[in-house]
Amino acid sequence: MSTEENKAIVRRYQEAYNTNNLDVLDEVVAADIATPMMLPGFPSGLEGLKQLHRLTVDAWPDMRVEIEDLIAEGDRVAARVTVSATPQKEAFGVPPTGKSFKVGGMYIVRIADGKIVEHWSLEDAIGIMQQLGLMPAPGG
Amino acid sequence: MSTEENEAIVRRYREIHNKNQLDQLGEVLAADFVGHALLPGAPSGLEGAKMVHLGGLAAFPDAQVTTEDLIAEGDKVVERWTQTMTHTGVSMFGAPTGSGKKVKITGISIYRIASGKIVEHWSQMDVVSILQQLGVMPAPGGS
Repeated sequence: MSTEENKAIVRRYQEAYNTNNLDVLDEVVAADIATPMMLPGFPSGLEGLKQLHRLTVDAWPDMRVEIEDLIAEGDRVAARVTVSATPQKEAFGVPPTGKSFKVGGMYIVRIADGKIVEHWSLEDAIGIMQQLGLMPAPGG
Repeated sequence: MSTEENEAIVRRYREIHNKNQLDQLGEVLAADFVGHALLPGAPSGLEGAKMVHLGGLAAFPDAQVTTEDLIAEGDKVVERWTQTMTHTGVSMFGAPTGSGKKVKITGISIYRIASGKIVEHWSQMDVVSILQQLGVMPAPGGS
């Protein structure tokens, strides 16, 4: 598959999350996707990703992930993203404070036979806590 | 420049970083490079990068980064890395001085390269995991 086709898969994957259309994930993500950075307590594979997303959207209903840049080589695509949300309920030990956050994140996926088979993801969790007022901001 | 040449620049940067040869950083980092992951308050560019590196070493003198994967396209290279370090130095992240705790984390960095040097840099790393491994934040499962 070309890097352009792989980038299109990642855009479709991200759009599925942003529109909360998790059925589309079955088309672009392998059921047994490896997720080495998954939070503990979730099942493996695509089922774990769906559960994590449902929990996140329930607590952060306006969450949006914007793709700022895609870099692709071979069977891998890296995404630099911006994540924004206004927490409404407690999730991941983060209570709602009435404030919103907008932070950077990155993820890398490996694609085989037209589907995402491996996924690593990081976001600026400290930035989230600082913007929500839960942790002192730099300098303060 | 080819993607192979760009990957070689990132590997050289990583080598200089791991050997703490900060006087050689200028070989691969542009003096006025834009660092989106520099700590607030640090000077910009090459001097800021040196300061941040020295700050990290003060707490974790044995920090080493292993490049797990490189993804190169156009003028950018993405590096997925793991870092191992022992907290034997100054207090950091709220952990008391010299806690002796060993930490291993994953990170992703993105480099933009122009005229043979890194001119822009973004990075994410699992800071929450550092805090958990230092005992400053409860680990998953709450302990």
